[in-house]
Amino acid sequence: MKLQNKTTISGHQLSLALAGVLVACSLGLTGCSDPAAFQVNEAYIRAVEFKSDVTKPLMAETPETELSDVQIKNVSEVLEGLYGTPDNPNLPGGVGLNGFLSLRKLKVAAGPVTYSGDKDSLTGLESGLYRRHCAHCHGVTGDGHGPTAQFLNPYPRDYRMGQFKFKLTDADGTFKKPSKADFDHILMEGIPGTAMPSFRVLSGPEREAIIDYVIYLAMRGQTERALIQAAYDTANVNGEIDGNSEKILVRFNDDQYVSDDIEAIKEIVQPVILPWANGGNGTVQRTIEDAPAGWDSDESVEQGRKLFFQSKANCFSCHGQTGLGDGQTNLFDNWTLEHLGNEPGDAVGSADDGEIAGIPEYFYHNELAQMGVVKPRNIRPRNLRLGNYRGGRRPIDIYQRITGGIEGTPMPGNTKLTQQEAWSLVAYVMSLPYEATSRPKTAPSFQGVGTNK
Amino acid sequence: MKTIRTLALALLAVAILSSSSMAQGWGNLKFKFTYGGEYTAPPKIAVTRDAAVCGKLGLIDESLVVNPENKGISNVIVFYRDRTPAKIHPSYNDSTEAPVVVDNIKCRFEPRVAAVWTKRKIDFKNSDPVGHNVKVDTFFNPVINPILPAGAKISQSYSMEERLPTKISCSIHPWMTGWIVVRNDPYIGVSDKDGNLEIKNLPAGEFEFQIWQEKAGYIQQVTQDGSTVEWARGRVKIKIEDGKTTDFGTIVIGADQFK
Repeated sequence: MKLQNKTTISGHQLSLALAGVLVACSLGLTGCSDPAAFQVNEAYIRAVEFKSDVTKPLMAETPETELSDVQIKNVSEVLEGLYGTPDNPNLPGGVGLNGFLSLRKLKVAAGPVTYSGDKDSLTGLESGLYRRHCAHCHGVTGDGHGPTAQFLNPYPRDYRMGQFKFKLTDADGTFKKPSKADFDHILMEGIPGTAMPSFRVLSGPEREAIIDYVIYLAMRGQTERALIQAAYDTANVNGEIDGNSEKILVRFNDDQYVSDDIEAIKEIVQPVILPWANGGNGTVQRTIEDAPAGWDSDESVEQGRKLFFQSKANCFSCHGQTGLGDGQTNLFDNWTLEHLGNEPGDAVGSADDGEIAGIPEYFYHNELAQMGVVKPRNIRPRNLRLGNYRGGRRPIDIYQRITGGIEGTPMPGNTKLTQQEAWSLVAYVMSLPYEATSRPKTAPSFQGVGTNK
Repeated sequence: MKTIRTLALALLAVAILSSSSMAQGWGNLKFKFTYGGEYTAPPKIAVTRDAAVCGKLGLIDESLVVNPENKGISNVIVFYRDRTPAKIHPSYNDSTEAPVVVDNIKCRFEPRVAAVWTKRKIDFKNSDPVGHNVKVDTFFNPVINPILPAGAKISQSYSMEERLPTKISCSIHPWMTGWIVVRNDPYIGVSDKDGNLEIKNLPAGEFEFQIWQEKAGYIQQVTQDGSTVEWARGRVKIKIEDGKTTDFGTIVIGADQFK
């Protein structure tokens, strides 16, 4: 069920309906002979339909409740009203963005790759940046399902959940949205050990445009999920309109219900935008104080080694006794869990036992693969002896992973370590690549200790 | 004669006064949830981590807890979900000072289901000798996953309402599952070991409630007073009567709802 062929009439009705309330609307689809379209998040629709509230353990054989075609169509149309199309992006108004994203930048990052050398009159940048540099892997929709995605390990990030791993905003055990500086850091450094390269060759303004566009795709994806969830919430058993007061997205094009729905949509979109835009300022990276003197001394490494095995840090339980990443190898990350079921106990499986990561092979090929879900893989704790750190190899990067955790994965953040203890763990972790598993050696000292500035 | 009339008026006044002191726009809501099938003992959990501590506890799968004596179902959730924001009874204001506590104890979450009014904080603590972490996968609120060493406690607050109960889990001990219900009002009930649930001091009037259990999802079909009732998406409109307790009686949830 691909809902890409929006009719102009309903789009027009939608823009009329939303104009002035939600959107500073400009829905004129001009000059696109073969416009690119955002993919509907069918996998999520499938998950909410089959898993009964998404919270049910494993998918049922038949859907308990199905979204009506009208609802699915309306989700797409509302999304298009709010966020536009890949060639002509838009931003929802009146929901708290407060200038956090620049529509001008989005328009530069969006659009097809052209060979004409046409440049944006204000920024002087060529358009189509996202599709030129990112879409091969991350997909036009930001679903992590571009043409190359299935050949990569790890898979490219699916932005639509709005969760990101490597950032300096996470603190106090709470994951926060990445700041634009976090995205820029990833663009500059790439992600070692993965297919994500450095985009250092791009200019600052080009990176800024791409960053706004990636955040835009994430917000759009989160909004889509929230709309699907809300629409599902109001579908009755037969997917028909029932006698209930709340009819979100069922009769969206019926004038009588439009204002109710717009109010409901606003309620759905605002909580998606708020954690990102934060009043227009975005999130802020935490400040990590300088490492204490002697943090990388032999004594510190020894203290870290002890903590590694103690309840206070408990690193060994996943990373293994020797730090090879073999302690807990049958878990899944959030992006994968969603397709398998949310019950961690049930969703424990291994790719080696004749099934694909705990689910029957036919189920993957017949169902999940059809809707653009990459083959589920277990998430492996990092092998700490390789000296390859995805979030970066600066000591503060390791410090942040230990104290902040990694969003979307089983890696928790540790707020209970003193700064000195956390630094001793950094020292131990960074000593591991130099230590023979059979014959532990003294760790070397490290260079480049400092703050995140 | 005049005296009698005065007396009658006085009595009437007393009657009016007393009835108005009874009815001030609030009422209670009661349920009892029971299991409509044969009781079977819940399966045991294969303890794969920290077996020295957690392996001795005889842990069982608690996704459906039925009392073998009276078939009462624990941890059924009823929450207010009307589009009209709920009027909050003053008696709830005192509760905002004290946090909701979810303990990691005996390698499980206690309580398994916690009700969190956004005005209250929630403390996650660890009373076990082993380390835990608590991964809370909220939909709208920021996701958290702090580590909880033995004896530790962290305090968390939620500013936004969640439409669905939110799963909490521990990555170190994959069998550990719990739920928090984050709402903008305190009208969240969780059934006890006998299946009893009461929500006190609701505003009087007709409102929509939603009924959910982790294994069944939304409770869509039940038997009430011997007849089958359909609750689309677990939603039911309930009239809260002024000054009274609205008793929904015994609700039997069929075994098929938990498949």
